Amino acid sequence: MQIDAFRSLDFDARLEREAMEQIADGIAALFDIEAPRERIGLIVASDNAGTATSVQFWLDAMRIGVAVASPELFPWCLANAPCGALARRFRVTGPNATLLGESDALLAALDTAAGQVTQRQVDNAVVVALCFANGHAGGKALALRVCADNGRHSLDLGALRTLVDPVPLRAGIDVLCGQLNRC
Amino acid sequence: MNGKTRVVITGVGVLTPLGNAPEALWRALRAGESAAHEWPDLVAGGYRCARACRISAFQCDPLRRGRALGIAAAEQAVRHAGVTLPESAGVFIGSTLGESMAFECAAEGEAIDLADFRVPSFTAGVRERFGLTGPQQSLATACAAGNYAVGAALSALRQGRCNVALAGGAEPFSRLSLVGFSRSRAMASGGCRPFDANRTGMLLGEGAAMFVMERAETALQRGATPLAEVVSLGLSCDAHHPTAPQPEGLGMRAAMQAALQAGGITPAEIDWVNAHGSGTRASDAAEAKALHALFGDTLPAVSGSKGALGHALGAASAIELAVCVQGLHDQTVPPTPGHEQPEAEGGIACTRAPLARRLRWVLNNAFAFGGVNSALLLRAWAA
Repeated sequence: MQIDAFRSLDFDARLEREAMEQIADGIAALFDIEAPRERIGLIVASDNAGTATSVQFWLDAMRIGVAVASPELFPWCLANAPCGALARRFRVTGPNATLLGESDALLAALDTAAGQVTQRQVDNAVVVALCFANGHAGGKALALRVCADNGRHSLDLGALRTLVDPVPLRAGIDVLCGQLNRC
Repeated sequence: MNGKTRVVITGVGVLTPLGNAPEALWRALRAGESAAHEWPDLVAGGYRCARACRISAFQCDPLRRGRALGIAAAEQAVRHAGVTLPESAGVFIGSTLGESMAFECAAEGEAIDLADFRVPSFTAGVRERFGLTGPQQSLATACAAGNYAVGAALSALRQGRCNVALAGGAEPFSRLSLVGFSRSRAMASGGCRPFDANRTGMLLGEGAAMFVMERAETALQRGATPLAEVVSLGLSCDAHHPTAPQPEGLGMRAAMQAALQAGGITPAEIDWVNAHGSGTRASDAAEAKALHALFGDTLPAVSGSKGALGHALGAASAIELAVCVQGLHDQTVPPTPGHEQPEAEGGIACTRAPLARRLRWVLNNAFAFGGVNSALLLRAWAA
């Protein structure tokens, strides 16, 4: 699997909407691609997307009343909202998917991206692993761009699988970052 | 194995507000029934929209309703397929968020570890029930999640990552979604009326549908009868708005085109489109434009079932895939409950009665918040 760029970052926003502004700024360079926007795939893997906003939305609804609750946060209750936000920010109109889980979700996202690129469904696929702040730890993100060939980094998915499956996504991100930094 | 490897559905399991078996659901849909009615607990709870489609005849731990629905649908599908699942079987499940009630209870102060109630808990439940250790994916692509899960299983089977897969969607009834959609003015003031000139919005549903999927060669070798062939999944993203579709339906059209291109067929070959047809003004208008732009003068039969079943969100496209499989089996397009009068200009005249005709190719459309567009291409099984 060929990877031509990656970015990792930590963030502190608690709710997904605010966090995505920080994340998008941090990974913007990965979307600076010449390819037509419908030829770019975007896959998010997350352990907890949608959780913080859902709890906040329902807390507000209980306090204000279900008949008059504000709908403003509701779209961010959906786990795929972060992926949609990135697609809008970077005008990515190719295939778009969100996988939930621990490192299994990251591996599946990488697999999916590799498949899209090798089958020429897209020219590039951006995989974004997202762990939102959860009360115990801050937010963590890793984004990487998969290309068909001549990438700066070559990733052995089979080898990665033996290292990260079934560790938590946060740990999996660290392992993958270490591998990419060594390449 | 490669992209040309044929993959088939050999077992179907459903739990829906109109029946907890594929045949019962099909009979009710053919008869034009709708499960929508007003629920006393929602009226008493002060919800703006108390009309919904829920499953009465299913008892379980309310905090585990999504997982229980998924497991029950998987058990049905496995029985239907007559298959003994190998430990290496894959599990691919789509939903929106997970157990909505657990999220609501956590917000209300109950000590709940939500890590155990998200969509992966559905996937883990099905894997545990059958003792499976094969590939897994928990797809959270909102109202298109069922199509995505079946597409993921299709890829895994074609790549040889498993020999058999359980795939589909599950969604428990969600008060959180009821409040969110009704406060976003997406809910119907009466019934859900897909593509009707007088449509006012959607109704919430719930349910699950799971499928046993196998490579055709494997299924035939064990003497199974394929029910339908899963050919391709077309995907796109509007990248337009958090909740509203791109008004010209460009992304919807692109997803359908991608499915047809991957399947190697032209629009004129499609016999039936099971539309997303949520009944909202904006989504149905965009889907109508996409359908007219893609099919032109060759618009096939179009039906939708959300007037009968409500919108089961992450399970909706899986439940509607079960309807497609049954329609292919019966060579009949079901009616579209709630649809009476199409828009005068640019509208879609959906089926209003069972339509018996030769059905070979079917598209199952599913679109979602976040601009997600999907179209699953099916073919009637022919050796």
